[in-house]
Amino acid sequence: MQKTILLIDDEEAIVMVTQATLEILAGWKVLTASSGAEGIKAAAAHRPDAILLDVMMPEIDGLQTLTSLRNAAETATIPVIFLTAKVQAADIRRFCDLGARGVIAKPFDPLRLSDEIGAILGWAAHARQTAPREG
Amino acid sequence: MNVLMIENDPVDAELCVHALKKVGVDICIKLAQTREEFHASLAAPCDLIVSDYNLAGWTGLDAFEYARREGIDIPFILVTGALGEEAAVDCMKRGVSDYVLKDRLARLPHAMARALKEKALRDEHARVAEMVRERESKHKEELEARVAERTAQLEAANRDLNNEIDERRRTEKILRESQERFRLLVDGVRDYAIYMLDRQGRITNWTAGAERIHGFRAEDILGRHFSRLYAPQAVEQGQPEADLLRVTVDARMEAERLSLRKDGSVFLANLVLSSLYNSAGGIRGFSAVARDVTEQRRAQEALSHLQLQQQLILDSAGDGIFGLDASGICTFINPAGARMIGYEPGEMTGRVIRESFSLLVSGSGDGSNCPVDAARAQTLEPHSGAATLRRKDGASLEVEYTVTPILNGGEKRLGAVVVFRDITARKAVEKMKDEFTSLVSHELRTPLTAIRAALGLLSTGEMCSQPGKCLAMVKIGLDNTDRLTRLVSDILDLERMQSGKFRMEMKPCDAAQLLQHAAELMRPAAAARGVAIEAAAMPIAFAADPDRVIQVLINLLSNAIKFSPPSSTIWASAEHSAGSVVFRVKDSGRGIPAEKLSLIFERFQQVDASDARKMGGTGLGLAICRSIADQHNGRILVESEPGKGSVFSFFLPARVDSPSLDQSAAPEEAS
Repeated sequence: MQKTILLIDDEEAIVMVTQATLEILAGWKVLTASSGAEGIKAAAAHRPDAILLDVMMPEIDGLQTLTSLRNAAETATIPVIFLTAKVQAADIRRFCDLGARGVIAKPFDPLRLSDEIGAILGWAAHARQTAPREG
Repeated sequence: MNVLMIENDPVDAELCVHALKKVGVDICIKLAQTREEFHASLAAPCDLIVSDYNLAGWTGLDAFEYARREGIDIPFILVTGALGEEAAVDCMKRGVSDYVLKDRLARLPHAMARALKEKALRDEHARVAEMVRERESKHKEELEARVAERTAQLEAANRDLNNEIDERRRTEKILRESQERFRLLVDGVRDYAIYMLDRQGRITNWTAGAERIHGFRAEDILGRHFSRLYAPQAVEQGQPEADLLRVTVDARMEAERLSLRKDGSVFLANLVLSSLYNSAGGIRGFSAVARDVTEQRRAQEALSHLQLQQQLILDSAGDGIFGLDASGICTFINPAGARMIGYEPGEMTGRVIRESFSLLVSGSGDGSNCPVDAARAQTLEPHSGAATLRRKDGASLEVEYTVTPILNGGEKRLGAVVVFRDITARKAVEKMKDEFTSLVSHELRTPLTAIRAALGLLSTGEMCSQPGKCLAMVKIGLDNTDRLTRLVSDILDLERMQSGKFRMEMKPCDAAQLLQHAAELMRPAAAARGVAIEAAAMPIAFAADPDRVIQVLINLLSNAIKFSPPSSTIWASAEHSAGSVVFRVKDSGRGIPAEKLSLIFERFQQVDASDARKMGGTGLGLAICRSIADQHNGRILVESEPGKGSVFSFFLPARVDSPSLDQSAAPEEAS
């Protein structure tokens, strides 16, 4: 079954390349949100299989977003992976303490991104999932 | 009256009785005719004996002597017929009272009366004599008793006197021995000059110690005034006389005096003068004890100097320093240390630091990393660490500390010295640096991520069939490469400016020209967003780095363009005001919230980060602007009202010949 990923990041370029990577290389469905607030709404509305969450965002940052997601019944169990440039050991520990399932550092290797996400979430090694192609 | 009559002739006896009876006195006459009768008759009471002289075979004188021998002393009258006068006188001499011739018996009563009278007189005389004798005897006894008593007293007094003399001799002996010992003792004192003075201050006694210290022999100095022992300057000041007066009044004086040796050298002495009194309480002289304190004073001064130096070091040390003894009691703390933890030094010393001041460590909780505990631990090695001390007001204080044990020679530990440093500010700086590094990291990694991912995707060939997405990826790569380039460039510029390595190239400038130039450069970008730029300025000459001024103006105009609504106008101006050239850029954009106004000149502190990035900013533009203003001794300010727009004002000194500007320009000219 096709996985649905919600990507929350305020950087348009990051959103574009990440979305393209997961859609084209993994065949997953990627929903996007450009802020924490937008992401919380989208998560509740679409109940994705996983959420990729940026940390440093204006207004509601990634940590506050995660807390909100954990506190809302409909999103509390959705696994969240931080996609961040803050990858020091102390940061990773703090993120995991807050309930993140894992951390993927920026810049990431697009060819390995879906494998990293699958490994973190315990998804079985997957064949490339069929996804609707553009054009 | 009883009369014993001795008569062996009855006729004569009768005659005598008759003669006696004539007297008419009541007389009881007893007659004894023989010796035996006479002896027997003597046992009865009898007042008078009348005896014939010539008795048969014996005489009246024999009877008389017998009676006398028998101790009977009563009048004895002899009656005789013919007794010669010589014999009569002899009888009288022997004690017979009287004699009467028989032919003249008529005289017998008279003789009796006379004899009795004599006897009475004799008895009275005897009685008186006895009385006198008794009185004399009694008086003699009293006298003897008094003499004996007095004699006893004198003997006792004599004994006491002898005892006293013995005691005094013993005391004198002990005293002599004691004086001798004292003399030996005093003479044995080598480090003190001990001598005595008379009331006028003349030296009367001089010890070996005095000779050693002052150099004078006894024969040189005895009899001399003690001012001879004072240094000339002390004598000039009248110190000897003043000291003598003082000790006379106060009984004792102690002072340090410049003193003199025989060789003329001067030394500092501690001098003690004491008054000596005679038994009447009058001053009979003075004792003097002097000690050379030159070395002691020198050592004291050296010690004081050292202590002062140490105190100055401790007082001026920026780090906190406190000492603990083996039981954890604070022995000292320097002002910086006390100030850091909010106490006065006096509040700390003498108290057990751990209990009194709760200098605990946060984090470990059990205090295992506490500098105080570390100081009390029995380790002999220095120990360093970081801890959180609790200040008097309860606030925390981050410190780094080093505990160094104080060792007594070998391995006996007397306590420890703790040196600690407030690292709160450093921690804050470190935190800021961490946050800044994190920000920079984020800002650099973001475009890198986009580039890396876009290129990665393209490299898979999976997008070959989707040229639109391919182009989009290529554009993302290019845009982010440009962004990364600008970012790196801005970071380097800012770093160089803030570290002073970026030198301004000061030149004469004209404000109007610079403003127009910047406006011209930015008009295409403005036009692309449908925004107009109106630049107006009068020529103002000043000195500045024109490229950097234009960089600031472009930055301000660029921001204005980004946030101005389409069809709006940006107003740019330059004017002279109060010695400054003031460039202003005014837009009618969304403005800046009040809480952001103080932050926007900080690095990566955009009003809205994502907006700024969308506008192609790096988050460093305004920080660079402020840095350039600072380099010109100028400043940059912003006024803004959300929803109505912002005005940025860039002030630069208007003087052409600014010394700081010349200074900045000089190296350039030299090169």
